[in-house]
Amino acid sequence: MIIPIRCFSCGKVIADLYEQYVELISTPQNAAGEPMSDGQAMDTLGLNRYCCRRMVLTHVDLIEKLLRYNPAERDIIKLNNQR
Amino acid sequence: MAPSRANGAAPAQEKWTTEYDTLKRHELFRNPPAKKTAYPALAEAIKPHVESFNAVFAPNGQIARALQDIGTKTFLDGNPLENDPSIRQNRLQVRVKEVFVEKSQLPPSNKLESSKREILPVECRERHVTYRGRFRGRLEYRINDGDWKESIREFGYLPIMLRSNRCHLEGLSPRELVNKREETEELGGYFIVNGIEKLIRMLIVNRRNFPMAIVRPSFENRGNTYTKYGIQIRSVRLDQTSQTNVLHYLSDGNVTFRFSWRKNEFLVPVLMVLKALVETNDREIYEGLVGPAGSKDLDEKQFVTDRVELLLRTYKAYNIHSRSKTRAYLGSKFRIVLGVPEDMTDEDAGTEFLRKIVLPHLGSFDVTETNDNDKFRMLLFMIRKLYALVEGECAVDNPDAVSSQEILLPGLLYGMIVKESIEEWLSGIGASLREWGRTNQYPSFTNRDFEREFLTKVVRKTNENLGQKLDYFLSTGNLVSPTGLDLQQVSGFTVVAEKINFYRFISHFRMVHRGSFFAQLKTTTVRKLLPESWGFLCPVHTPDGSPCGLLNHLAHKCQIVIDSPDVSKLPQLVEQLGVSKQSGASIKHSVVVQLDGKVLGYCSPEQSKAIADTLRYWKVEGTHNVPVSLEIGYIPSSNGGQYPGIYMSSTPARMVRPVKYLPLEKTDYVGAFEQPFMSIACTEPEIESGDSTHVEVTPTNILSIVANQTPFPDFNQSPRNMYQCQMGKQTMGTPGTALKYRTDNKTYRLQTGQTPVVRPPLHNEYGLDNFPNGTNAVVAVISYTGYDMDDAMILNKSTHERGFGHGTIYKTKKINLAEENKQTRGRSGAVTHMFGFPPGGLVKAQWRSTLDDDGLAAIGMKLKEGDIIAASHTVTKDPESGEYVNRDGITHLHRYKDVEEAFVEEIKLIGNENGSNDPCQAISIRLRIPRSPIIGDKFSSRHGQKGVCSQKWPMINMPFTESGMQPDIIINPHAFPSRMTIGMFVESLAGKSGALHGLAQESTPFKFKDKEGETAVEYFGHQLKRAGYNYHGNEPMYSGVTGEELAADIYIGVVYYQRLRHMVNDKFQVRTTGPVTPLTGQPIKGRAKGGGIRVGEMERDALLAHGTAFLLQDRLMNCSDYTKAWICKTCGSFLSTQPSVNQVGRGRRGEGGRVRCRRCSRHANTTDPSSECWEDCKGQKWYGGDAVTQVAVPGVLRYLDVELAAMGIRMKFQVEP
Repeated sequence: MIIPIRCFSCGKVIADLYEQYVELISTPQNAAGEPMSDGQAMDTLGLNRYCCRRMVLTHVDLIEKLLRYNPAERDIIKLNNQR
Repeated sequence: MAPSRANGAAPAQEKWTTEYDTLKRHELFRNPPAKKTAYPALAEAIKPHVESFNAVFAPNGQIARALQDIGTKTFLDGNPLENDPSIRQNRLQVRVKEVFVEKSQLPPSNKLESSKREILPVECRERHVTYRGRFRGRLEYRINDGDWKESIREFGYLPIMLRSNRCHLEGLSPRELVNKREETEELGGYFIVNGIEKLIRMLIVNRRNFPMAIVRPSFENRGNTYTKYGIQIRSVRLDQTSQTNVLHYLSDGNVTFRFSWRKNEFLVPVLMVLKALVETNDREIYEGLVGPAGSKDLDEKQFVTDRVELLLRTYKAYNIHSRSKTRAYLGSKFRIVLGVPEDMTDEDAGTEFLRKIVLPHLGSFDVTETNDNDKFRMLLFMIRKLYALVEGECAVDNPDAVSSQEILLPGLLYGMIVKESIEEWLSGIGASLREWGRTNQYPSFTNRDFEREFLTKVVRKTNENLGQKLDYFLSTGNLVSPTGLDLQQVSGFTVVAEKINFYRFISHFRMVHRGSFFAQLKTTTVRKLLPESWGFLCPVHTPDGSPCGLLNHLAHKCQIVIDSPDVSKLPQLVEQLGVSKQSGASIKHSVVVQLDGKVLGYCSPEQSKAIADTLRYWKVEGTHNVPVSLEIGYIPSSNGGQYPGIYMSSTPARMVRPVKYLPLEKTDYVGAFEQPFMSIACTEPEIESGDSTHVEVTPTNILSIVANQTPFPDFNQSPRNMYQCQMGKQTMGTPGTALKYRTDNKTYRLQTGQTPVVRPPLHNEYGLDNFPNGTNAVVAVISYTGYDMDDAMILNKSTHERGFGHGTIYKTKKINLAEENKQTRGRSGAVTHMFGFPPGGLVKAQWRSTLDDDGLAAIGMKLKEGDIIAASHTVTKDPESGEYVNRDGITHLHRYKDVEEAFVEEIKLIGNENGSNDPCQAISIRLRIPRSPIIGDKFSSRHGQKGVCSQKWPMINMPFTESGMQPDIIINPHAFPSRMTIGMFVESLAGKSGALHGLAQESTPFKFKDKEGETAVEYFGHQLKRAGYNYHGNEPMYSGVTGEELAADIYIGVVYYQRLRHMVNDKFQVRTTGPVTPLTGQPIKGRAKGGGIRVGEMERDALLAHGTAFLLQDRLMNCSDYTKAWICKTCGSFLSTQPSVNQVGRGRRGEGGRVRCRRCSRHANTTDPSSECWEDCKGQKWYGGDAVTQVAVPGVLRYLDVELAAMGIRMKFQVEP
């Protein structure tokens, strides 16, 4: 759903790193214009232990999907139909 | 059948890999694709359900054929009791020409909504109603030979399958689905009945149109001289209904034809059927069965010639010659059974018999001479096979192997029931006609009155609500049918599509049941896994326990053929390849060539091989009009093996699977019947030149969707993989994302689901990241605290506090005031209740602690047992103002009855569809119960390693590694040696290195070799080493208590853990005192009722063996039905004691209430001292019987005494001291 605040095992705060992580793996980072690999991005963010790494690496951000079913959905559908 | 619009089942746009694809996934989450689904494999998996339903109402589909098959029903007028042959009776003919099923829409009575009239599935779920469409039919009728007149009849409402061609969701893209408040990956394939999602389970039935050789000892019970040998064919008509025909071998060589019709069995001499079919003679039959004179090996066929001679001779006794006479004879016998019109001649009735019952797959309406000829030749073939079976020339066909089975598709069953209900209704018009005639003095059909009253008085009297029948079928799974539909069971056809998690949900659609008939069978042969199932049924994915082997799941690449392609060119092709009409004498020289149960001709065994090979080449190539879905079942000649020949089938409901055809390097679809006689190499290196014709696409194609998700299953002991398939389906995962619009009774949701590090590419292909099912846990394999004995596991307390495995349960409760209306006011349907407080009535402050102004519980309120969730009051309609007014001012309270505390998540007010202005009569309340893991909750890895959380161990006391990491979970090393789940070790290694390198680890089975340097362990070991960790996955660890290094290095890694839905909170059972059974005084059973747990025989034995007599006494007596009972010491009876009553008028107190024995006392005399006399409740005086005492006994003992006394047996107890 939403990324947990802390790494389950060691307690390192990781929730703030997730957006940075997504940024690193999505936007060009080197001269060749390639984004970072998952491993590199985590290294950059200082995620060293594999416990913290699996938190970021395997997180499924289901909230994005749930937001599609918004309580204010009728307006959203209206907007979608106009688009 | 026309190809229907596929629900996104178009070819894959882009192949999924095993990678995380985080960005792609986010994009799909944020913007569901507007064109087609990203997971076509999912749509493919559900295809058999949706497409078979689409075929039902398609033009020229199942129902259209069924209406042709039903034909016209003819009724005659006049009084049936005074049959006067001189009066020519008038005929009324009726038929249903066409039926229409509409999409789900508001009923015409609703005038409020004008533009958006469709009812979407989500609304049906939320309102707890059925998703159904209006069902109508065009009834046509005529009198005598007049013109057909028509009338459109309303047949009620039919339940509609989601995403079918009658559903609003057909062909919608994920984005449109989201806008319709469905899941992005809504697959359909199920029905919504009363708000519950139900599906028709796929069922295994005998393969159609193939004569199976069967040996069944029970055949001998049919009568004298009947033997165990038989040939059975399940002949399927064009409308997909079937009729089973069986040929029985009698010990004298005779053959009888058996069939069942409307649940009754009938036997007919086979020669009578043969002679009725075509104008023939004994010679033709003889040569058809034995082979023409002069054919090779005729002299070896002494066995057959003798029996055929007898067959022909014994038939002479009937003395029926010529085709028409035979038909007339058959017609005279079966006209009542078939229910043909009274004015039909016997010969026509005989023709009708042949049409309906004898091999109907070769013509079941508009039967031509050619059809009859086909039937004749097929019957001859069946007799030949029967004789071959008896002679021992061929082996029996195994009805339990998939090669002789096909699937009864949900749509086909649905269509069959629709057909039958239409037919029953048409025949029902006859009964209605008779009733009408009786009350109206049998007027003639030509009468003007009849014309006027037929529709209004006759047809209206019949039960036209055909949709109701389907409704009943879907909601109960029971089949109410006068014919039985040629099935072996009457119940258990439908199941609830439980959405516990996505594995569970998708499995329902891939599940194939053998039939509940076989569940009762004591023999286990039907449950065996047979080699024929390879690639069709998953060998791993079957439950353990009673349904084991009966409830199978389709392999994930196995498809079911739905449409029947055009095969009209095949007979010609086969003829060109050298097939002749004439058969030889022996199967050594002449084998049959059949297409869909029709004999095309005979050829030599060598030719047959060439024909099969050529046709296969053409079929894969796609030339010569040979469709690729054609199954070319080539059975080679053998010594006593399966009866040889080429049996081609193009019909629906077959299982097929893709394999690569080597000569053309193209995909071929192989059927279950042909597979056992083909050479399909499992992997490329196994291809044998000159033998292998095919090669598997990949070896994992034999596994089901769920079985494919187990990582490294090839490293595990096989039953462990089966257990994982079970547990994967019981996991508390993510049932979906549109949970807001669902109203399941109970839904489980995992809060922090992750995608596994170790997974096969199929994980992405089936879009399982949409439904995370577990969490990657850091698992240490160590015996640490002692709390990890016997499959218990220790959870890190801080891990738990940070949200590991946190789950939620959603429950939906419905409060329906309309049900209370029914109780009070009969079925009038008038509104008598309303939600809310009565205006002006008393509202206690205490009620308002949970209720809001509207009389419903406040959102977010925490509810305990007995709290009020809604208030309602009675109303009556004021006829003047039309408003509902309350007159008594009394508030009715609705309470929360569950024990567990819950939060009110949402309350839905449920409206109705008929557009009336009635006040809200039903509400649906969704409650949320948070369930963070507690001691006693069940977890499991993906390797059948389940365990119960025994302690939440404080983090400070957990062991830690050199980098300061502490495990989330500790499991005991003893879990491994006996279970041999090496796959879990490998997963741990792979998970650790995957997390370190940022990789998704491919875990498809059979990828690693058993060779030095290429094993999985080495691969992942080296990966770990490169990340700076120990090659073996061990790490030095330090005791959390002492801080000392542990003597051994600890195996620690990342394993995907599932939280199972079995939680102590749903299971714990405690009782001190509580309800008891009134009869015996013992505690009642059942957790829900606050009952006790039985101390059974074995528990008793254990207590005895321990010598714990006090405990035993405590359990069995003191805590159970301990009672103090009065007993008479003199006569030793419980039953004769009774309390005495105070004597009326006497001032003496104290005598009353004493217990005396009636049996030991006598009527009081005047001489008896009155102080020793007592009085019973009838005022009679007694003397004596005071030797009573109170003893402690089990309550049942008294009960036993009473029961025995009722049988005239007296129990006598000796009371000492």
